[in-house]
Amino acid sequence: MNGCLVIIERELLALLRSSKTLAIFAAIAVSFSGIVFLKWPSSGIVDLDGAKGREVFQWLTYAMLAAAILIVPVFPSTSLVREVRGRTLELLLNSPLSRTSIYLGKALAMLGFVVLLLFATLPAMACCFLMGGLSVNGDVSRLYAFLLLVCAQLIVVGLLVGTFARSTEAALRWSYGVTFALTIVPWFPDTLFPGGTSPVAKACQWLKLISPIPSLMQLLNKGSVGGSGLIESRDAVSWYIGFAMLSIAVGSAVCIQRLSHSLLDRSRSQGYITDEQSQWIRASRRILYLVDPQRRSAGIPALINPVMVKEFQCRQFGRMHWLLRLVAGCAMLSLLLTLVSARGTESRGVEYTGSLIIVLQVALIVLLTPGLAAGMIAGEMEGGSWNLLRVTPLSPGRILRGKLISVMLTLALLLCATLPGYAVIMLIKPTLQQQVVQVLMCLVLAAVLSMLVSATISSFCRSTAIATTVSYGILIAVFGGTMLVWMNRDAPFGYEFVQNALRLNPMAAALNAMQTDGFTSYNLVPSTWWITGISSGVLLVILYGRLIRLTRPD
Amino acid sequence: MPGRKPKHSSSFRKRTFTEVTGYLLVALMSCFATRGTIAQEPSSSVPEDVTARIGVGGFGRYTTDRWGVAKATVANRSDAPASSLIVVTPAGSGGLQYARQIDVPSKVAFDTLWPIRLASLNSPGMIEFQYLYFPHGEDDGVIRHEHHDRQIPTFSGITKNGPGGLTGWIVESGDVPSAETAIHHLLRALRFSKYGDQTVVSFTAREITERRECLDPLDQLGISDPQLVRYPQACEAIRMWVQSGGRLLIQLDKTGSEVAEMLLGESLPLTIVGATSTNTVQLDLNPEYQDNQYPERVVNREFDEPVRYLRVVPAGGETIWRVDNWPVAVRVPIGNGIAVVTTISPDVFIERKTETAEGSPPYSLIPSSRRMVDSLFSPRTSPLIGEPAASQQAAAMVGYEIPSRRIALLLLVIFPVLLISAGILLQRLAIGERLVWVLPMLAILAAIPAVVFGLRIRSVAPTTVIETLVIHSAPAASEVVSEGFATIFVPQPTELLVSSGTSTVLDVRAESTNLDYRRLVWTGPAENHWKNLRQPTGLKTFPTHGVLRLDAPLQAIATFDESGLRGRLLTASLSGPSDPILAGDSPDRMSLSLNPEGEFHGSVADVLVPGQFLQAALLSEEQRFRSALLESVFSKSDRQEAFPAVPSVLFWAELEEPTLALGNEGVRRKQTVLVVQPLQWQPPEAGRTITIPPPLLPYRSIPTAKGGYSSVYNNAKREWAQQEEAGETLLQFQIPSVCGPLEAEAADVSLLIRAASRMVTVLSGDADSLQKISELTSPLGTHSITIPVDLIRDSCRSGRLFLQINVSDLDASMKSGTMTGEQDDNWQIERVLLTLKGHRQSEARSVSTHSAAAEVSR
Repeated sequence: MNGCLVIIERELLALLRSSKTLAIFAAIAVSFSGIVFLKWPSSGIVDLDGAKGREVFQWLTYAMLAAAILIVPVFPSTSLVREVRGRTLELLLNSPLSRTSIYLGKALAMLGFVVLLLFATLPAMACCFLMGGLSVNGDVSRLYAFLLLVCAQLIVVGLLVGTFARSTEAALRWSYGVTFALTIVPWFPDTLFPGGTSPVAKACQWLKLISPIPSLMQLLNKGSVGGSGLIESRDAVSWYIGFAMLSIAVGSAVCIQRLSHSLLDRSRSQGYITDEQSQWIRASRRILYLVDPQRRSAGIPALINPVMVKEFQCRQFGRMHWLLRLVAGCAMLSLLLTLVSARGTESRGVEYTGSLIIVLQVALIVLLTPGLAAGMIAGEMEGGSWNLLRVTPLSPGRILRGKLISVMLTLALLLCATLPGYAVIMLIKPTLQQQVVQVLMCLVLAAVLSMLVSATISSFCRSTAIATTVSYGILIAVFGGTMLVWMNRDAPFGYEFVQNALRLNPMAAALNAMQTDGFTSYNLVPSTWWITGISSGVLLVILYGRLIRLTRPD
Repeated sequence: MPGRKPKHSSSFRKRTFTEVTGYLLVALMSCFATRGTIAQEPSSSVPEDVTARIGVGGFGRYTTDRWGVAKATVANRSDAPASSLIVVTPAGSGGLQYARQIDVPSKVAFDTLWPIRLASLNSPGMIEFQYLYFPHGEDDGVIRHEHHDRQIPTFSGITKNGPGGLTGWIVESGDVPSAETAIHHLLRALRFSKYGDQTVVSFTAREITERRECLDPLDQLGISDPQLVRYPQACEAIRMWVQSGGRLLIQLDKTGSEVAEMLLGESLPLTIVGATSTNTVQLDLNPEYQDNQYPERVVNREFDEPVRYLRVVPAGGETIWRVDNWPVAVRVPIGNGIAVVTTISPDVFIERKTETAEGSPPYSLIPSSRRMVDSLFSPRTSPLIGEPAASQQAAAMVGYEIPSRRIALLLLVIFPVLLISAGILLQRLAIGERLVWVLPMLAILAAIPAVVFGLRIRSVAPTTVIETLVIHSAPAASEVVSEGFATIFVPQPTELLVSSGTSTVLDVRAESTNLDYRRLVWTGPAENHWKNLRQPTGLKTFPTHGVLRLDAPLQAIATFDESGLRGRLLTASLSGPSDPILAGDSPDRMSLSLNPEGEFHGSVADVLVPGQFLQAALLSEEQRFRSALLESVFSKSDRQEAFPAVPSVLFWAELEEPTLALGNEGVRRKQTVLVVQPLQWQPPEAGRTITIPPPLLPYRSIPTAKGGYSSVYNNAKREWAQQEEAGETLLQFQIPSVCGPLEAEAADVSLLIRAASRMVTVLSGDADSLQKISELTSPLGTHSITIPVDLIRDSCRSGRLFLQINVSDLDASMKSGTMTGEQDDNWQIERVLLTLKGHRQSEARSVSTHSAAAEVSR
């Protein structure tokens, strides 16, 4: 137990000594209090049904869960990798501390930080309770217990992933992948078999309870979202708690078992190269593979930016076969969105469907861009490859172009995926052509802004995890924070203030162009384009300046 | 090979990955394959002996944010009775579902309809309804798919976006509705003139059920079907729909008197004297209508074919048009709704256009049709008691209130300030790690006051239900629509076990903070209950509506005597009538004294001052609650016309049994029922002196002899406005027709006026020869003026009394020299109360029921 405390002291208490940590706690406390105050009714008898209290509670819950899912897996997964790469894990394993102590120390330190973050939100949540519509036992306590459990589960997942990953990038990628697999994937199959009686359908109905999403929906009274009309009689929260406890126990056991010297001495496969195989195998693979990932690549042509090629080659998902898979995935996504466009039109109208696609698209951009761009420079610095880049004759401009193009091409693929959806919209209502063009312009700007924000943050950080977290924070503030202002339109924010806030958000401009309900009265286009364009320009200049500085000799 | 490491680990991982992917794919494919076979299995498909076909009900149209009906054809081919549950979820309902649970006898198939409510959304013309069918009568969690369809079963309905509703027309059963019918053209032209669209939905009476929700998508309904009487369920639905705010157009020359009698009842008794036809029609507009609003007073029409019309004597109502002095278009308010009865072919009210623009009807309305358009196509009247008023009064009664923003700010600021201060201090002392316990401690300390305060405000009352109902009855109606609110306070989150056996519905609306499935299950024609209706802590107000079936007609029969008004209130099964007041076409109201036998009486002394609704010296808490509700009723500014449309008794009563039952334990209940009962008049004894109190002498502003028209009195809203310039206001008081011809004996005016530094002259007499009866200098306050009887005798015999009030410009000589600063130079008449004494001359007309002063409600 003492060993465990030593690790906690090393990991958590050291963190608390930092003024940045205090700033994080203070920022959370102030922002949560601010949100509650903004929604407080002007008169004590205006909101007697507690609707506003519940509304604020739901916002805070979404914010906390989104933050947990996006940020919590980053630190545990990269922490172990950093220990391995920095050879500090070796020191720990050679110390008298048991593997269990090391694991528990790390996990509890991170959980302790999460608990402190939750405590920082407690007074605001208490005032939310005072606003009405909530109960201590049924809502507030359950929410905190639920969030704590989700975070604990994600910490265990992160640590477990960290024992498999070899680089911070891989750790990040896989921790997000597993988080996605635990939160979204179990929920999805049930939508294919709603109300079925077959064993598979029944299994899917139970499988979805593995995900925290149904529990969250039940906790926040959102049972009909994506529902099939059936009233859920099971207590999803209890089932999730059961599963989460089990997964924490199993994950911890596996993780403790894997915490050994073997982590420090893992062999790397030299790979399977097609060019070295027999003639027959080479011939057959040429026929069977559209793009053979095991074939040695040709040299980089003179006109192609070598940094871009390096980015594509080094990033697992940047390889051609992965890009093709991404294209295939995007094509499927586009088909799905097209289906949504066609089906939703009948009952909700084209504009509603268009708005849905915009929000989905921006959500994808915000979700993926930091993952792609935040490690652009911070990853190189963290892995030590930046020094290699510095010794090459490549100019800072060329490095920047290469890196940005590699991200832009991926994002462009993502954007292209939704074009068929818009095509269907234009087919249904041809008069929307001009609006769709404006929407696409807004989305392109949103992608550019997200990329440049993440890349600029990356140039200031030495750790990918921090760069990713900060990027998420800024992008959520830009795309989500301004929407928070919009949600409080007329009370307490006036028209002008809301309009000016929305001008910072390209998604709001896209919704305005699509004439979405609630956005029609604002005049956001083209002022948002100008603001986003200028912001992107400024970020580009800052980024370039940073690169010049970073490429200078020490 | 030297230096070459074995590559089994890599290839093993690859193979494992490939294998796992392969297995997953196979599993997924097998899922689909399994699903395909299971669809054929009896366990997941609908049992063949009990089936249900679900679709749109009623006349097949819906309006968003309103009720409609769904229809299911349920068949049980088995030898045993079976139970079925059908659940319909309208698109965008936010989790609200409307279900029908029904027991089906063996070897029987029948149709069942039940109400569903559409959400307030912007629909492009169609709305989708998901439905689930549970053949065993209980939600077993199994979705029965249609054959060869894997989607959740749905049906679609044609929908119009609210808030305005549709215009309907009931055609004769078996007839193919012809677009060339006169009433159809009239409805189209009327609708086009108001809304710019000419959509009229035609359907037969057979498609209407007894539930008024069936007609809720409609705002107007035209009737030309003489066979309607064969469908009593349709007649009942129409009556209830009109009472709740619908607008009805009856083509009496086509339907016959039986249909009108069935639909209008005592609201407008009609005596058909005969019928005639003519090729030349001269339509005379009601002479009481103002010239400036209706410049064309006479409309002449000529027809190739003779036009038939009925000679009808209506006992009440407001005549809009006359032909040859016979009313051909009569308007009558019924509850919250309005009915217009035409006794002539609708052709006379429309003219064929010489040129028809695209999208416009081929016919246009004749001039001066405004009254008809407004009667039928003005927006629906909002509920008498608004939701905010009901909610606030209920909250005041419960004592539930959340703290103000200032307290909230204080509670919210404490923690960040303490945290930042403590954090900086710890950093400076280099003991930042102590934040590990300082932060939780501060958070808990800061949270405690809010939690304690929150728990305290929640404990003000146990679970409480306060029902506030309004019954806006029609004369002598025994089936009345009740509309109102149920305010429910729960100290802890609770599932509300709401049920009703009286067809009353707790109207739960979609809300963004609760998207759980909540299901209104109809288990019988009048029985329903809510399932999964969870309410968070706090006080929530739900609209309610229903139909009350009383054991006898509700009636308020009144006449005049020497001291004022005297009458009898028949409240049927409503018990404990109390605190009655009389409200009429005048802006003033009068308190009535009611004895246990139901006899009421009101005199001039009982006239209430504005804002007062009870004359008691000490008001109980309940009376204060009632006064506040009445205040909200009379001060509503969003009405097109003042309330009430006809003189009515407003009283409070109790229902013998609650309309809604709340099955939760320890529930405290309170029910308040406001009844608005129109007066039915009995003529006073001839020759006997009677006193007509001010509330029954309505007045309106009319043009003066010089042709000027004063706008200081708003006839429609019955409100006085203030003015700075000099003004002449001629008021025409209407003597109730039941008192006529009246021989005036005395007339007193009480004038409450604020006209400092001005000369006010009051004149009276015949309209064309008004004489000065009083002159007031710089009047402020109430002034009593006696009108010489000789001046008004003639006009009173014709049922009118004229009073002109001239207010001069500011007279500098009257201004006080000592006054400094800014002065309010406006003048305003606050109240004009006329009390008239006299006697009815003879039994000129003996009518059993009259609607008083209907002629002055314009």
